[in-house]
This record gives sequence, structure tokens and C-alpha cells, in this order.
Amino acid sequence: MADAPSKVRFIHTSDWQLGMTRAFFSDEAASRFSQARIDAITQLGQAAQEQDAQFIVVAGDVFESNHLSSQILLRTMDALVALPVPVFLLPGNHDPLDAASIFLTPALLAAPEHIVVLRDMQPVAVPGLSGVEVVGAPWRTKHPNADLCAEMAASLEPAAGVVRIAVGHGQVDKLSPDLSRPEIIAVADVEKALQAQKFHYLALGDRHSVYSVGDSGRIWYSGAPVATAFVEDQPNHALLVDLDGDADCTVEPIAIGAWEFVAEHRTLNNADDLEAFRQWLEALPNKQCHAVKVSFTGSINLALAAQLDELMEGQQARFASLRRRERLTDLAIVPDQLDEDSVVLTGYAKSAWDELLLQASSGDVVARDALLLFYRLAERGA
Amino acid sequence: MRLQTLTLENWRGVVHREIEFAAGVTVVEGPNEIGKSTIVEALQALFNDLDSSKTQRIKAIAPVGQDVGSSAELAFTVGDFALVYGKTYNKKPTTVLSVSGAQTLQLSGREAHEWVTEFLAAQVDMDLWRALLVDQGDTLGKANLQSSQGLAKALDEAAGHSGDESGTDGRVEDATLFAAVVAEYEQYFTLKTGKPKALLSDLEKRVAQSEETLAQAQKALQEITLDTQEQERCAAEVLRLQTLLPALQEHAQAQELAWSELSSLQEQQVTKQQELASGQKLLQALQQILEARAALVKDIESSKARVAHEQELGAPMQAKAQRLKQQMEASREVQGKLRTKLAQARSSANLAAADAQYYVNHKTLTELEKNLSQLQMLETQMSDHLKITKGTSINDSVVEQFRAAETALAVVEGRRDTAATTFALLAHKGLTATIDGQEVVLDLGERSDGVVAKEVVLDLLGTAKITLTPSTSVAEIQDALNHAQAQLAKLSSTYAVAGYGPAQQINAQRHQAQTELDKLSSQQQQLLGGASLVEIQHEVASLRSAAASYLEQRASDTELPSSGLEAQARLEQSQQVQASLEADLEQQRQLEEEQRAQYDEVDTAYRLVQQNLDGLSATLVEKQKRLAHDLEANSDEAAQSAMAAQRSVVAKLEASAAELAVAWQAANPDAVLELRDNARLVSSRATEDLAKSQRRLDVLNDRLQQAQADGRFDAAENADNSNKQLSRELQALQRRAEATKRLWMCLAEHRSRSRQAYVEPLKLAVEALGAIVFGAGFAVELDEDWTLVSRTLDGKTLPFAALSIGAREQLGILLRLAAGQVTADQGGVPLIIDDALGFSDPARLSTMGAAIAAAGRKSQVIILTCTPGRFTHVGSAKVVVLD
Repeated sequence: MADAPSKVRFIHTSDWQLGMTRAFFSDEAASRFSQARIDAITQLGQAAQEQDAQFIVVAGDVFESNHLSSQILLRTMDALVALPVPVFLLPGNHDPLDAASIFLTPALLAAPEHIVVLRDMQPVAVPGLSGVEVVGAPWRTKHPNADLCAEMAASLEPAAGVVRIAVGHGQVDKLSPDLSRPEIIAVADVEKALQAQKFHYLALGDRHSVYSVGDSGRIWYSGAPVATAFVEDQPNHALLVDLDGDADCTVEPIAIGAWEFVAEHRTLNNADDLEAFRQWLEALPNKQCHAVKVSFTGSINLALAAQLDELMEGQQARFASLRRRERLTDLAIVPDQLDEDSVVLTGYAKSAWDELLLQASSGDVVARDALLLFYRLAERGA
Repeated sequence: MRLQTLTLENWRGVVHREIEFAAGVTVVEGPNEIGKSTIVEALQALFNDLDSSKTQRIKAIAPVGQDVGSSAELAFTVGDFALVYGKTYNKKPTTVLSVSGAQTLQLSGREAHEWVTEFLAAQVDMDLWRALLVDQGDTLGKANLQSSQGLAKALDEAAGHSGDESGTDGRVEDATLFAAVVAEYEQYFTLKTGKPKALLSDLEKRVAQSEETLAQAQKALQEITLDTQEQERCAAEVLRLQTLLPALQEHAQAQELAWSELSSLQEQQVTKQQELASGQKLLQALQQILEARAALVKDIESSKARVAHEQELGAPMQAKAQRLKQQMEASREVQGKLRTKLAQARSSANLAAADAQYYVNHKTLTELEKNLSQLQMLETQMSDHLKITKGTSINDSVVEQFRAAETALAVVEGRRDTAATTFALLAHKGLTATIDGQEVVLDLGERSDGVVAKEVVLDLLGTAKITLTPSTSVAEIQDALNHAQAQLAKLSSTYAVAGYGPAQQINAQRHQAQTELDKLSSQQQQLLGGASLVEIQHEVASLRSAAASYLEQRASDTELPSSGLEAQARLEQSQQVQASLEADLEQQRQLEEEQRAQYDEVDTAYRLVQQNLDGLSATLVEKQKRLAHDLEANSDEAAQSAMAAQRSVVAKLEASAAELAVAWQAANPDAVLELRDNARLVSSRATEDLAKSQRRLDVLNDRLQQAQADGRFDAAENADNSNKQLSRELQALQRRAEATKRLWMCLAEHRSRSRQAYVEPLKLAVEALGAIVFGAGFAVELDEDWTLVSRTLDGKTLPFAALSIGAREQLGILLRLAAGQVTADQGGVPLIIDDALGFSDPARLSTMGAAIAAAGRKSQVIILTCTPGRFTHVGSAKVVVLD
């Protein structure tokens, strides 16, 4: 090698998926969620500044779709323009560089120099920085018929005298082996290219959780900077990458977003269980940025069922979303002596109660709901 | 609640009254105007109206003409409470309350009113109070009992359904719970029809709308996806064609080259063919020249023969025409001679005709002259007769007038002669006397008679003068006589005739003359023959003159015939001669016509032949000239030689062309052309396809560019989220609604069943009282809301509405008494019956009295009546008589 590659520090992020919405959010929460994910761009800029990172690479899926409203595009542009370091944007499967691509809109075509869209597989220099190149494998269609990273690797000569960061997007065969999908990234091929020093780091996107691919320590998924779903491991992060050519590579996750998606399961059999659940809910921090879904199993009496309903209904307003996972809930509501003590019924009301109880005990859900309602009304009237 | 004492002051007509009520039955008797019904009015006012009330109802209780306040004070107990509650209305309104017993309290004004209202609501079943209050005119059969909590409670207990064994804490009032369930149910469904309310149906509509919106948004997004896919395919196709096209074009060019090489051979072949064609054409031209010359020679010979033939044809025609011309001239000569003779004959005939006419005229003249002479004679005769006819004016009429006048005179004279005085003068001697101046000479013995029709003077000259005067009547007759005479005299004078006789004679003469005249006139007219005499005279003069003139002017070479007959004979003869000559002349003219026609025909034919001949001759000359000129320019030998040379050239060209054709076939031109054409098509189709794909690509790119950042994804996402949210809401709402519906239906059903059970104790109480009134076979049916449905008596059931008014009233009271009985243990309320049982017979009143007495043992009953004795049979009653 002619020149020793210079040391470089940058931030690797991906899957901003700006413009994504979630059906379970109220309008208010949805607005905040949207804004939080645009604010994450600014937070990444601040992190870069704080950590002396020289640039940011976004490994695909900057946008949720190519067909967003101009509101999201323009707000995103405002945040991108304000970034203190260059940023490289890779079109991914959500926002491929097809004819209708959002990257072909005037706003992005005429973007300032420090916003670089990786439109082809040609290495590009980092503006204002010598000896560092970024090369991308952009998605040109939603359904590519080849491993774009392999294609990119094949087109590259070994990086001579420069540190070259490759940016790719998609699933890797180690995690999602699927022979029927030609776009799956073959890790072995990428590793070979690394060995051939065609690039020194491969920044991947698509997986919303931080993940190191293979054993090289140079292939990483950064995860989404703001959580987007219940199934993500360690979202709300970006990666701070230090690269000393082929000599050294350290990757450190840094926290960005504050939104949490929590899927909880609880067993309720008595008042203590309910109380424990109440305390668990209470202990959740930053509730307004929490989306919580809970499933229940167990068996409780009407009084507890009513309390549970009240708890769920009463706490809803504090969270971005709090809801019961009906599909996974199997909670038997069984009236017991306690119910009859708390509500004293006589005459025809008592006989109606007994009939509904009989119906509910044979698994009639409507009867159970009716009984619960009856209980509440009677309790209120007592 | 038990009423103890009611005190009224200045209440309508009541100045002051205090009524004490028994614990059981109290009968208040008194006529209406005394104020029996004011008891109910006062109780209602106390419990409901503020002392300050200004309603019409309150105003109406003021006594008439008095400016005082109206007061009512009620002493009553409720459980352990004893109350004295009084109010004054209209004037100086006041409210006072004194409570003792369980609580001691003194209140006044609004505070007192409010305390009592609250107290009653809490302690007394006011609904039952109102329900049991039987006012006049109220519907008896349906006391509004179902809203009474007390009755329900009592019945509930009576029915043994109470679950209230562990105290009242947490015990739910059924009605409150039921109302809450109904309210819940009514959030989702209408109570009557069970149809979903707007809350549900609106949400269902919104879900449907959101699905529609979602479908549209997804369709819009899908359009872009499809466009993008097509754009990708299109771009790939453009790329493919752009790569392929150069090779295709190169191949096409190679094929073009191969064909162009082959086409030079084709060009040579074409050139050779053209040369051959022109050589053959020249040869043909030379042949034609020789053929044309031979034809001309032949033509000249033929023309000569035709000229000779025409000449032969013309000669006899010319001769015949000449002959006919001569014949025509001879004929015209004969005609000239005949015309001369005809002129002479016509002249002779004219003379003969004139002569004949002369004789005719002559004869006419002779006759006319004779007639004229006769006419003159007739004229003379007629003038004699005319003198007679014209000489008198007497005619038949005049004669008649005379006859009449004379007859009249004779009649008057007759009358005079018979009526008038007469006188007779008898001369005794000869005497001369005058009678009326007329001398009369009488001889002796002679007598002169007279009539004294008028005054007659008889003058015996010298002797006496006697005046005779007729009597008056004689005088009148005389006047008539005078008149008749005057008439006759006037006629005689007028016609100058003496009287009827002469007139008749003259008239006869005039008639005779007229007859003659008519005869002569007829002869005259005959002779004149329609003309006048002057005209005849003129004609005679004219004929005479003409005859003289004819004779004078007539040519004298022929002698005038001696007579008319001879003249006629001569005329006929000369006319025959003329006719004969005219016939001859006509014959000659026809002959000439025929000859001329023949001549014209022959002459025309001849001229035609001559014309043909002229034309043929001229043509012949021209052809002969042309042949001569032709031969001079190009002799037959020279022409033959040139043709032979050309034949040789053509043969060479034919050989050369055949060689080229063989070479062409050997090069397989069809295949080369086929390959070239195909290469062209392939290349041009690829070019077209490329252009087409490029155009489509441009359209798609343009469209996709338009769709950039137009928010379709957001719209679809929002629609999807909205739809999901609404669907969740709907599902939850439907679930709640279903639960509510189940609860309501279950509860309502049990309630209905329960109420049916509660009816039982009330029914038993009614039947127990009814047995007293109607006997052992009495039963009633009550429906769920405690309304009387039917009555059964001795096995016969009648609907309540079908019962008599009396029976209905009795049952209504029994129902209230029973209700009062069953609620008595719960505190109860007084039952006030105002003026009832007016329709009941004495026997019934008796048993009703027993039933009321029985009810009064458990509850307070107050009966108001204006009929003393109606409630005599209520054994235990305290009777208060108002007066």
C-alpha cells in the first residue's frame, strides 16, 4: 500500500424510516412519534459533534416510502441541512432509487454538498476529508434480482491509500437463509471483499436492532435510532465506528432515541397479582413515549376484573399506547363469594344475576361481559 | 301516615270547621256545597302548594266577597312523629309546623314547607298516596299503583322474595338498578324497537367510510407501484434494444451491400433489354415503311378503278335528264295556247251573264211599275174612306152615350107627364095666345095642352095673362127633365148631331168606310212586299237607269239577245266551253309536274355521282404525287438494304440479353432480396420498438415524477390506521352493546316474572275483600302493572271493561282497599274515597260496607259522601256530618 490509510471516526445508522406510522397510536402520540424520529437526525448530528465523528452513513431506509407527503420530506431536509457533518444516504428497500424515488425529488437532487445520496456503486470521497471513501450498494428497485453487496464488491478494486466504507442494505444469509430471494446478502462474499481490502467496513441497514455480522467485527447492523416495533433488540441506538484502515476497527453503540415498545405478559389470579401489575406499570419511565401491550392469563373474580378494566382505562392517557392483547389473553372471570358480598342483590335482580352467572360459567363471553357490567352498575348503585 | 284532625277557616264557603278522623273508617257526610270535597283540596294544597302560591287553584279557595286569608291545619302522625302543619293562603300567607314525638321541631314559612316535603318524600309512599286517592271522575279500574315503592316493597315482602336478611348495607334497590340497566341499554338501542342507536350505527357507517377511503388510498398507492414496475420493465427493454440495435443495423447494411452488388447485374440486364427493344422497334419501323409503300400503290390502282366506274355511272343519267327537260318545255307550250282560249271563253261567258241579268232586271222593272200604278190607285181610294173615318168623332161609344141620354130624357118626361099639372086651352073661338111667350094660334075647338112643370105664363093676349105655377114636386121633376135635356143638348152640341138616330147612322157609315179602308190597306201591303212606296219608287228609278246605262255601255260587236230566254241559253253555252278548256289546261299542268319530278330525281343522282368522281380524282392525284415523292427520296432497293442490316443488329442484341439472364438466375437474386428485406424489417422494427418503449418510459417517468412526494403513502397509512382504530372502537362498542343487551334482556325477563309473582298477594287481598262483597265464587286477574284485567264470578269471567259501571267502581275501590291493606305494615297511607258507589244498589252497598269495615281494621279509610246513609253498612265507621 502506497499510503497508510488515515484513521477515521464516523457514525453508522440506518432505518430511520421517516414517515412511518403506527396504527395503535392516537393522533397525538403519532405526531410526537413522527417528530421524535426527525429529531433523531439532529441528535445524531449532536452525537457526531460530541464524539468528533467526521461523517454519518445511513445504511438504507432513510424514508418509510418513496411516496411520502412533502411535509415529512421538507422537515427531514431541514434537519439534514442543519447537520454539522457530511451525511451519506443509501436508498434501501423502502425507498429504492426507482423512477418514483424520493431521492429524485428536487429537494434531494439540489441538496447541499454535505448531503450525499449514494446513487451508484462508484466510491465517493467524503467532502472535506481526504483519504476516505464511501461506496454504496443502492437499491434501484424493490425487488432486485441480485445480491447488491456482492455486485458492489465485484465492481471494486482494492482500496489503495484510502479508507473505504461500504454501505449496504438488506438481510444477510447467516440470519435469513432463503435461496428463493436473490437479494439476500452472502456474508462469505462480503468477508472475502473485506479480506481483499476492497473496503474496510460494511455498514448494513434493514435490521432494526444492533447486530454484528460474522466474525470480522467489521460488518454491522446499526439498528434503528428510534424504536419502531415491539420485536426489536436494543433499538434507539447508532454505532460510533473507529476505523484505522485494515488495522483496527472498534464499534460502540451510542443511545439516541427514547421511545420504547413493550410487549408484556401477566398472570393474574388474585388481588396481589393485579397490584404487582399496577406497580409494574407505574414503574415504567417516560410513559408518554411508551407503547405497551399486555396479555393476561389466569382466573379472577368480577371485582378484580372490574378493577383491571379500570386500571387499564385509567392509565391509558399516560402512555403513548396501552392496550390489551386480546389474542393472547386468556383470563377467566369467575364470580366468587367476594362479589356477592360486595354487591347485595335481591328479588328479580338476583335471579337475573344467577342466570347470567350460569351462562358465563359455560364460556359465554357475552354473558361474562354482561355480568361484569351488571356488577359495575350494581356496585355503583349500592 | 294517619290523619287526625283537619281544621279549615275561611276556605271557600266554610267559615270554620274541624274534622276529626278515626284511625279506621271515617265517613264524612254532607251536601257538596258545604265543602266535603274541600277536604281533599285542602290536603293537596297543604302537601303541594307554598303559602305564597298565586295559582288559579289557590286563588279559587278564597271565600267570595271576603278579604281574608284561607287557612288549613292538619294534625297527623307518621310512625313516631306527630305533626301539626298549617298554612294560610292568599291573605297574610303563613306556614307553621310543629313536630313532636321522635323529634321536636317548630318551623315556619318556606323552611317548614321544605322540611315537610322532604320528610314526606322520605317517610311516606307519596306515590301510593296519590295512587289511592280516589277522586270523583278518576279512572277506577287503574289506580296508578306500579310507581309505588311502598306497594312494591310490601308486595315483595308478601311474596317472600326478600333477600334482605343481612341488613340493608349494600342492598341494591331493584328499581334503581333496573333504571340504570335501562339507561345503559338505551345508550345503544331504542327501548321500544330494539334497533341500534346512532352511537352504534354511526360508528358502523364511519368504519364503512374508512374502508372506502382506505381502498381508494391503497389503489392510488398501488398505481404508483404498478407504474414503477412497468417503468423498470420498460427501462430494461430500452436498454436491451439499445444494445441490440447496432448489431441489427450492421447486419442490415451487409445485406444491403450484397443486394446492391447483385443489382448492378440487374441494371446491365435492364440496359441490354432496353437496347434490344429499341433495335426491334427500328426494324419494325423499316418494315412498316415498305409495307406502307406497297399499300399506297395498291390504293392508287383501286382509286383509278373507282373513278372509271363513277364515270360510267354518270353518262346515262345526264342523257335522261336532258330528255325530260325537253318534254317539260313542250308541255308548257300547250298550256299557253289553252290559256289564250280560256280567256276568250271567259269573256263570252261574262257578256252572256250580263245580258241574262239585264233581262232579269227588265222583268223586275216591269212588275214594279205595274205595282206602283196599282198602289197609286189604292191611295186615292183609301183617302176617300179616310175622309169618312176621319170626318166624324162619333163612334160606338158616342152612339151609346146618345142612346143613354135619350132614354134618360124619355124616362123623366114620362114621370113628368104622369105627375105634373096639365092644362088645356080650348079655344072657343079662334085665338092667339102665348104660352110662355110662344105664340099659339088656336081655332075654334082646338085645344092646346100643356104641362105645368114650371111656371107657365099663359097670355091670352089682351084678355088675360095666366101664370101657372107647378107644385113643388112637379118642379123637381121638371129640374130633372131639364137636366136630361141639357145632357142630350150637350152631346148634340159636342158631336154636331141631332140625336141618337142620326148618330147611329153616322157611326154605321164610319164602320163601313173603315172596313173598306182595311181591305185596301191589306192590298197595299201585299203590293209593297215589306218595302215602302218611296223605296219601290227608288228601285224603279234605279232599274230604269241601270238598264239604260247597260244598253248604252254594252259592246256592240255581239248583238243583244232578243229575250231573256235566249240570253240564258247563250250563257249556259259559253260556260260549258269555259269548263272544257279549264279541264284541258289542268291535265297539261299535271303532266308537266310529273316530268319535273322525274327530272329532279335523275338530276340529283347525277350530281352525286359527279361529286364522288371529283373527290376520287383529287385523292388519286394526291396519292400519285405522294408515291412519286416517296420513291424519289428512298428507293425500294435502299429500303430493303437498310432492313437487312437492322435485322442483324437485333439478332446480336438478343444473344447478349440471353447471356445476362443466365448469369442473373445463377446469382439467386430472390434469396438475396428476401434476406435484405428481412434484415431491413428486423432493424426497423427494433428501432420502432425502441422508440415506443422510450416514449412509454418517458410517460412513466413523467408520471412517477409527478407522483413524487405527493403523500400517497401517508394517505394510505393514515387511512389504514384510521380504519384499524375505528374497527377496534366498533368492535369494543359492539361488545359492550351486546353485553348490555344481554343484561337488559335477562333482567327485564326476570323482572317481568317477578312482578307477576308480586301481583299474587295483592290479588289475594282483593279476592278476600271481594268474597265479602260478591260471595265465595269471586276471583280477579291483575296484570303485571297491577291493573285489573278481569273478574270471575261463579265460574264466569268477564273483562274489566265489560263490567257495569257499578261493578267497575266497586272493584276499583276493592283494589285500593287491598293496596292500603297490604301496605299498612309498611306505614301505609290513608285511603280517601270521594263520593263513590253512586252506582251500587242497596244490597251491594251493604256488602261493600262490610268490606270497607274489614279494610279499615288495618288501614285508615276516609269516605266523603253527599248521600247520607250510603255508607250506613260500614259497621266500624265514625260518621262526621257536615252542616
